[in-house]
Parts: sequence; structure tokens; C-alpha cells
Amino acid sequence: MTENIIHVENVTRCFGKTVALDKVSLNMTGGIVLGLVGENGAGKTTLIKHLLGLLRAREGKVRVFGKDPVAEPEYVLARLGYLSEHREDLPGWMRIRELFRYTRAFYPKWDDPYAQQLCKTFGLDPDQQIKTLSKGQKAQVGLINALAHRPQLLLLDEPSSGLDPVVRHDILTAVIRNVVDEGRSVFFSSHLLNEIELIADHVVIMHKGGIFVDSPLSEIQNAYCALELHFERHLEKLQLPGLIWSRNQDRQWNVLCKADVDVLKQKAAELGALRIEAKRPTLNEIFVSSVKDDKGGI
Amino acid sequence: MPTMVIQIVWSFIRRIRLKLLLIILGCGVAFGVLRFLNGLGYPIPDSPKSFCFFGLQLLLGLTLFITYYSTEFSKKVGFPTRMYVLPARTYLLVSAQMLSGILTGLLIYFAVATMAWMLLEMKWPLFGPSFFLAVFLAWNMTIAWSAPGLSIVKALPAVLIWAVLLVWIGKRFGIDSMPMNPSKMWTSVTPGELLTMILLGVGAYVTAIVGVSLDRRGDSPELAGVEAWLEKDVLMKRSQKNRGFSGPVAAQMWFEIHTRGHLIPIANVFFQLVLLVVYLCGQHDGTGMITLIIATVIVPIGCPFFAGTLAGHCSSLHEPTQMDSFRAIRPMSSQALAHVMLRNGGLSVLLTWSGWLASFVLLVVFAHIKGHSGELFELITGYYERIGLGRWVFIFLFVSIVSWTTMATAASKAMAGSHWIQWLTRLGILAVSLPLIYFHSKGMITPAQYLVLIIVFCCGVGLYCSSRTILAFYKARKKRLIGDRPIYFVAIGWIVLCFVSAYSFVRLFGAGSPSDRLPQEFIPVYSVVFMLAGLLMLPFAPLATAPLALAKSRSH
Repeated sequence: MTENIIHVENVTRCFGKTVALDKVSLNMTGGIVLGLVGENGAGKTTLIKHLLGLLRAREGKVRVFGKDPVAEPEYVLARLGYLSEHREDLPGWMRIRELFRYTRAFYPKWDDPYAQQLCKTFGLDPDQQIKTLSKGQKAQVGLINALAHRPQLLLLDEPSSGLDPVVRHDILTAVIRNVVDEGRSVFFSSHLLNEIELIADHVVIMHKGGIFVDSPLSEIQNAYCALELHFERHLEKLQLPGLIWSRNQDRQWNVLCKADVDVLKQKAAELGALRIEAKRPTLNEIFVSSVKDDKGGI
Repeated sequence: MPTMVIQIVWSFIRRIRLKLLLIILGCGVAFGVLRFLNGLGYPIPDSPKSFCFFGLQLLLGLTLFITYYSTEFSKKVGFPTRMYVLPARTYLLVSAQMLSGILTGLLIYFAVATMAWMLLEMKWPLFGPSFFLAVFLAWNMTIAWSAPGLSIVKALPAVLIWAVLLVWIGKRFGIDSMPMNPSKMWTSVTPGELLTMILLGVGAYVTAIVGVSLDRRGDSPELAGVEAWLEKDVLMKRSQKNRGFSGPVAAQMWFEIHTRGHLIPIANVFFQLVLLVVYLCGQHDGTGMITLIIATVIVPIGCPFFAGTLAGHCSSLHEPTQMDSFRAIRPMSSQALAHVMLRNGGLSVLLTWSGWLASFVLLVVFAHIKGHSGELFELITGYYERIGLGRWVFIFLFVSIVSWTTMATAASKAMAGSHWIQWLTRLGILAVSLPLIYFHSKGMITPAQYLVLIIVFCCGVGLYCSSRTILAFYKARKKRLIGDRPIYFVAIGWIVLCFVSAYSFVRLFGAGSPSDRLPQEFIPVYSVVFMLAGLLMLPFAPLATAPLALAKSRSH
């Protein structure tokens, strides 16, 4: 059985009157890509900070590699690589070469040739000062810094923010998949659901400080169904099992339901649908339609 | 356009309004305490001396304060780039920002001078110092915004401007015979002085417009040749030689020194350079020159607090109460990280002391060239003979321990980020002390009550220091931030320090010391010993308080 490398249990965190995390529980096994999504202020960064030990769990329990990241930071942090959403967290006065030299001292497994190879891939000059880099280049440097010691867990907070589409694709497909292929794990947060859909094995959707969805991607995709229905006459109201969202234009209805596709087709036919087209909804469609009215959740 | 200028000025004042209020209130409290003491019969220096002591410090402090807030220090030392996108000509931006700084400075000066007049009847001059402050501020802002190249390069013209203006004001106030003996007050401004200041002010304004215009369109001269040489041929060669660090502690130490550890030693070099130029430009007699040299002792005495505060400061721009995430995610224990930061503070103090010593020697050499060395050596020999080698060694060790304690305590408090607790403590001490001083001076306390008060004070201080230290070690041990062995070493170190201090003090200062002349019934020996034992715990306390504070800041 694969051991949990992340275990979060009933963690609640408030900042003043704002509830940033509300009884959040989460487990992550090794060797997978976990995508954390949620709208702004959903609590993604707060959760990541708890995993890093930058925030102490005042209520509930956080364990990473079986240890409390606040009590044993050196154990936990030595095994993970982190890319912050704030690109300016990197010290601007350092050169890229100096940053790598500095970081290498903390990680015995630092892989210099790998760092150099990634530098070359991204077209970075090691002698360049970090403060002179663009936002995207800073993200690339931060990513190399987080990757080159080959951590067991890679924690990425909005990794593709500020990156151009080509580099984003490189990072998502080549780099992150490579990490997982080596048996290591990736936990990454993003606003962009198409990114998550592209590479995540497991999806956690956060909404208003709580976990809204926590399932393997395939399970989510199989659980939802999008239908395009054409009726003979105009319908005022459409009632289907697990209906989350619907929109109609004259005699055509587009719906998103959380139910078995065959059951839905049968029900639509009973209601007089002449043409029924079923398709697998995108994660974006599921997220937007569910969160909009606080419906759904697996 | 005038609306935009008003908006910029208003937003500047609004941004620093709390600090403004605190400065004015702080001066008010200080003057209030002086007024209170004056009522009890303690003398207050007359107006020229009071201005020399408070007013000049205020002017210089304000200059640093305003220059800092009118400049984009957090990103680069220069004009705030966010203003470049405003739809306005550069001269308007410069005018608005310069006006903001000058108006704020003058506002504080007028408020404080009024309080000095109302509370203490100190009639400080208004117009001369105000014009001077405006010109001084204008030039400082101009250099910060317009001087090309690295921040350190900007310090060179600043040294020159500071020195020239200080020499000039010295001629008015007699700064040559500082610190406490001004020759005259700047009560009226002559037309010549007014013209000089207007010309200087216009010069600063025009220079700022040219410099900011160049920076706004990206044409600012970069001193590319010098910087390239410095970076490629000096710094890069050095960094390439250092292929790697011996371990995390060495790497973190390198990081801390580069981030903040170098700032106080560099500020000291700046201060010494200004002093040197003032000295070289001014007309000094032997005594004035010696006073100037001795005045530099303020650097080694004052630097531990600032070095510690800077070394312990680790918050981020995004979350001022929490450690920046780059530092916080270093795979090191909070204990190791805190010790590195304390070492960095210590190194910063040592470097500052070395810089001070070098400049002290340099000043003595200049004094020798000018023929004043005889008086200086006479003074030094006199002190040496009066105090004796043994006591000098004791004083040096005492100063070292106090410096370490000051630096490490300031660093711990900076790591915790709870400055308001310190200020509350200070205000509490003030609130308790003032009534006691009042009762004592009015003769309302009998000798027996006085003795009880001394015992309560000594026991209170001793109990506070010892309980705080013991509690810190207990907490640190409970949180596994310190092991058993270091605690044993600390305990042994404390006992040794107590015995060595007691023995040295009695041996070196026992006979003929001032304490012998005090009425013996007023010295409750056991409570004084208890207090000293508690105080001697303070040098060890940061070994526990620093990791505790850092752990708190790291995991908020």
C-alpha cells in the first residue's frame, strides 16, 4: 500500500473574521500529480503554507512525510522543493549561478548537470542577476531551484503564472511528468483548469476555504456528463437527475449533470428529446458550473 | 495638474501619518519628562545648547527618514517608478515628491520646535533651520533619485553634500566645537545666507529633474564600465573561486551577510567619511578636534543595537509580521537559523568596530599632521594612568558583553517582530519611575522607605531577568529548540561569569570606588547581588529567545 506523504486532518485557519481554511482534510499518496484548484481566496496558498510549516495548524493536524512541518522543518523541507507564487521572493541581488551554489549547500542530492541542462533548455544565462530577469524567467529559475535537488515532493504554487505558452507546456509536460515518472510526487496549485486536466492524476478543488472536490481526475470526468438536447417543442423547465447547470435556447438545451450517462439519456428520451448528444465535460465546465451556485461536489 | 500634485503630497503624508504622529508624540513625551525633571530642580540646557543637542539630531534624523520614504528603497534606491506612468511631465512629478518630503520635514520641525517652546521655553530658531532642512532634504532626495549606478556609488556624492552643508551650518552654530557648546544661535537669516540656500535648493531641484527624466526614459547613465569591471573582474572571480560552501551554515551565513550584515559597517564608513571631510574642511583648535575624535566613540557603542535589529529582521514585503518564505523554507532547524542570524549580527558589529578603529587611527594621524597630537596623547595618557590597565581590560570585556547582549537581544526582538511590547515596557518603566523621582526629590520618602524601594527595585530586576531567561530556556527545551548539553554549558558559563565579574569588580574597583562613598545603609548588598546575578543571565538568554522568536516568526 502506498503511504500518504501528505496528511491534513480537520485544519481550520482564520485571519480575523475571514475563514481561510474550514476543517480541511486531505491525503496524498506518493508518485502522483495532485492538482489543487480554486478561485481567488479559496485557501490554496494558505493550505500550501501549512504544508511548508510557514503557518502553524492551530486547529487540526498537518503531517508531511509523517512529520509535523512546524516541529521538524529541517526533515520536511529537505525532502521537498517549493516554488512560490511570489516570484520576487528570490533574492534579486544574487546571480543565477550564485543562487544554485547557495542552494546546493542545503541539499546533498543537488544535481548540477540537471540544473545546467534546465538552464540551457530555458535559455537562461547563469551569470545574470535575478533582479534583471523577467517574471517568467524568475519562475523558471525558481523552478530549477526547486527541482535540481530531486525532491521527493515538489510543491508548486501557481507555477505557470507569467510563463509563455511554450515554456508552460515544457514545464507541465516534460518537467512535471518526468518528476512523477521517477516515482516522486507533485502538488501544484493553479487557476488554470486546463493545466490540471493536462497532467494531474488527482484533483482537489477548494471553494471558500473548504475542500469541494477530492477525487482522481478520471473519476470526476466519469461522474459528470454534459448533454446537448433538442426537443420537438419549447420546454419551460427541464428536470434531470443530478442536474447542476442548464441553459436553453428555443428548443435546444445544454445541461451538465452529475449522473450516469445512460440514465440521463433514457430520462431525456422520456421527456421527448429528439436528438441527444452526450460529451465528457471539461474540468473547467464542471468547476465553473458547480461553484457558481455552490452545487455538486463529489 | 495642481490637483495631482496635491494628491501626491497628500498620499505621501497619509502613508507615513502614523510615524509622523509617533515622532511628534515621542518628542512631546521627551520634553514633558524634561519639564517634569526641571520642576524638580534638575537644570535644562539653555536654548543654544538644547538646540545643538536635540534640534540638530532631529534635523539629521528627519533627513534620513524623509529620504527613505520618498525613495523606492525596497526595490532600488531611486525615484518611485510607479509614478512614471502618471500622465504628468517629469518636473511636476519631481516637484510633487520633493514638496511632499520637504513639507513633511518642516511640519515635524515646526511641531517639535513649538512644543520645545511651550513646554520648556526653549526658543529654537525657525527660519534658518527650516531653510537649511529644506535644502538638505532636497539634496538628499536628488542624490537618491538621480545619482547613477549602484546604491553604494550614490553614497559618494552624498558624503560630499553632507560634509559641505554640515561645515556650512557649523559656521552658524559652532558645530566645530560640538557636541554641546555652540558658539551662536541662528536667530536671523542674512540676505547672503538666504540667497545661498535658494541657489542650493534650485540646484538640487534642477539636478533632480534631469536625473529623474533620464531614469524615466531609461537613459540613466549606468556607469557600465565601472560596474562591469567590479562585477566581472572582482566579484565574479571571487565567486568562481568559491566553488561551494562547506555546509548549510556557511551558505546561510554568506546569504545573511550579503542581505543585511554589510549595511551597518557600510553606514559606519559613510559616517566616518562625512566626519573626515568635516574635519578636513573645518577650522579646528586642538580641543575641538579631540572632541570630534572622541565623539566617534558613539559608533562602537551604538552599533550593536542597530546591527542586531537588522540581523534579526526577517519579515517579507508581503507579510510584515512573518518571515520571508525564501528564508523560512531553508531546510535548517529554527535553532540553527537563529544562531546564524546572531552570528551575522556579531560579525556586523566586529566589522563596524574594525572600521571605526581604522578611522580613529586615521583621525589621530591627521591630528598629528596638524600638530594637535600632543594634546590628544596627553588626554589618552591621562585617562590610561587614572584608570589603569586592569580596569581597562575589565571595561573592554564589560563593553563586549554588553554589546553582545544588546545585539543579540535586539536581534531576538526583531525576529519576533513584536516592537510594540518593547515600547509598552519602556513607557511602563517611565510611568513607574517618574512618581518615584518626584517623591524622592520632594523629600517625601524616608530613608527606611528608600531602602525598601531599592530592595524592591533590585529584587524586581533580578527576578524579571532570571525568570524570563529560565522560562525561555524551559520553553525552548520543550519545543526541542535547544538540547540538554547547551543548557548545562549555559548554566556553567553563567556561574563562571558571576564569579569572574564579582572578583574582578571587587579587585579592580573595590578600594576608593564611588560605592565606598555612598551611605552604607542605602546599599542592600544581597538584593544588589541578586539583581546582578539576574542581569548576568541576559547575555545567555538570546540563545533560547532567538530560536523561540524565529520559530514563531517562521510558523505564524
